[in-house]
Amino acid sequence: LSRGTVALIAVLSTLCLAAAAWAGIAERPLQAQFRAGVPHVSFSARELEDPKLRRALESGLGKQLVVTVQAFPSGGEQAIASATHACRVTFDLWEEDFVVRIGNQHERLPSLDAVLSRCLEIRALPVGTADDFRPYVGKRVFFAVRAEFNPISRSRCHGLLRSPGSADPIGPVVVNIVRREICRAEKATEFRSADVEVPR
Amino acid sequence: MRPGKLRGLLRPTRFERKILLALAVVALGSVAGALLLVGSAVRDAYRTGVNASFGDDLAGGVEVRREKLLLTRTVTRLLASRIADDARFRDALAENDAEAAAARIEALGASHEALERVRLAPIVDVRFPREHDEPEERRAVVEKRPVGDATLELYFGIPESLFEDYQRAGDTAEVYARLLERRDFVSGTYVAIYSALVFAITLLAAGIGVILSRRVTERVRSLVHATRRVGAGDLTVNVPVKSDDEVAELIQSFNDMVRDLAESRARVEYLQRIGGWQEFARRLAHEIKNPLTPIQLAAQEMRDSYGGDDEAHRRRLEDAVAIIQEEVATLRRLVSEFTDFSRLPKVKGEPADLRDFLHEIRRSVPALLADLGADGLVEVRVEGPKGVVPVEIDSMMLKRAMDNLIRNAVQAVQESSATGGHVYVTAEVGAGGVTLEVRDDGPGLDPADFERAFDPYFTKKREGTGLGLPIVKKIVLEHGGSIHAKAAPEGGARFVLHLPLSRPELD
Repeated sequence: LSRGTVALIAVLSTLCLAAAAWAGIAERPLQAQFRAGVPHVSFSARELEDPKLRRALESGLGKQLVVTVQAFPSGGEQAIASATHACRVTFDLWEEDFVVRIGNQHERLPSLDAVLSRCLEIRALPVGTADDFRPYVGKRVFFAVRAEFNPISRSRCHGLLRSPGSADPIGPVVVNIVRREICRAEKATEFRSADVEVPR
Repeated sequence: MRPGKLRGLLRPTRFERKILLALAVVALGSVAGALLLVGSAVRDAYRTGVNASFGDDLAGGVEVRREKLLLTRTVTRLLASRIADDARFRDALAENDAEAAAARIEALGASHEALERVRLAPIVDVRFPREHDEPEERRAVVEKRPVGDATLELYFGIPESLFEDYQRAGDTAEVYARLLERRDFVSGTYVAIYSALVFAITLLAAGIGVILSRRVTERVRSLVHATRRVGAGDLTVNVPVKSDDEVAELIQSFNDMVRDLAESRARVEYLQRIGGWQEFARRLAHEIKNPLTPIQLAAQEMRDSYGGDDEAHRRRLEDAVAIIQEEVATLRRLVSEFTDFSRLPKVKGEPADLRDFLHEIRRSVPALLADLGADGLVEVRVEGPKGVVPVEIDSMMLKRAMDNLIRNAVQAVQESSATGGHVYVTAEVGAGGVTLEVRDDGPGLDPADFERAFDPYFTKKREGTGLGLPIVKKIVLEHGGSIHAKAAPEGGARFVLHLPLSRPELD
């Protein structure tokens, strides 16, 4: 199996599993306001927080908090749009405060609570564009949320778990599968919103 | 691949199912054993390489790097406090002696590589130019200390590698911890992928097995089909021999058997047909022979009893009687030949030497040529093996057959050429028996007559009865041999006789 085939199988499997999975997960209130045709969602994923997570964030090592929101048509399986709110959090051992990087922006926050609030309490996150939702005007959609603690990025994962030599026919396949397992989030939570109508 | 072939591949025959079952038992048995061993070996190997002891050491390494970073921070802060609290520095500041204050800072900071600049606006600003062997990225850190109403700012350049090493060690330890936590998953994945590949290879091997077995079973099926055709009486069957294995040998044996069976049946049928013609000839000879003498006597009586004076009538009578006597003589000769044909004895094989047999033929040639009036005109050459060749033949009957063939050949040469020609009689011994050949350089036979020439009463000679070649063939067939008419390389006819040897080792 080539890497491409493995990746294709993985993507298809993920899509199918994701579509099937959203149907069974917990539903909770999630505020979605459409502005200029674009939904802006607000919610909290603070339940991800636990003592282990707090210790990890205070260790001085860079950690990730990633919140992904996907919009689906009601009863549908094909995502309409998605948005990601990814925080890289590092406790600065020198300054004894937290450096939070979101995209290309850095900010310093004095406490862990402030970090968790900044990274897990999402306020007015735009999901997709107006064009994405135009075909669904007047129809019902829902938002699915996945909040993850410390997924290892693809590049870091490849750097840490390297494929063996090309002479080994099994190794590269196994490493690909193992990477997906090992580099996924340490902890994750998922929930979805109730169906909402896309306003005209 | 054609749909029929695909269907055939997916629907194996009983024989193929047995082969597949044998393959499956052997392959799956060995694969199952291999998978058990491999699974155990992979798990053991993985547990040897990924275990809690290494994980603890890695976590310890991370802690060491963190402590090193914190120690660097402590040292830096202590230095900042020491400079800020230094009495001589403070005295210099109290005396408003900027030069002395700067000199004191230079003295205090000279030995501290991380210190890059000390500033107390607006009177003191000391820089420490550092020349590093290997320039590296440094993280700028500022320590601030109150000095009177002002603030002393100390700028440090902390090597970025301290932070990076800590992060890298932390990442590695984390991944290792995950690998440790999920080691059953990782080793299980190895075993699962290996099993899947082995299973795929086994399937491939089974497919190849089917294809290879089909090469054998197809030939066996052809053989079964051919056997059924033979059972239904079709002896023209010939199964193609495509390789040189045991199945090919079986097919070759089958083909030989069918060919022998066909030849045997043809021989029996021919002999039966000849037997019928012999009976017919016997009756015909009997029916013709009886009235010949009264006809001849009546004609003579009619001629002798005429007492008239009419010379013309007498002459007509004489001519008529002469014609009747001539035709009666012809009929007597025919009757004689028919009788000979009908009384042709059965062949009785006896041990003989082929060389002696050929010698007899060679000895009879001059008389035969003289009888045909071909002496000096046609040359008959008889050649054969020099040594003793034991055969089981009826010498008298076989000689009669050879005489017939030689006689025909001489007559053919005589009729075609006024200047004469040659007749060749040869004998060769091979593994399959003896091959006798009589050929001439006469006009030859029409290829369409090669088979018909052996039919009774088929002749192209002016005075022939068409019994010579059937007699020859009957004799040859009764010897267990075969005879074929062909074209001779010299342009004439060629008759080839194959006779089996009597020696047991050559049978």
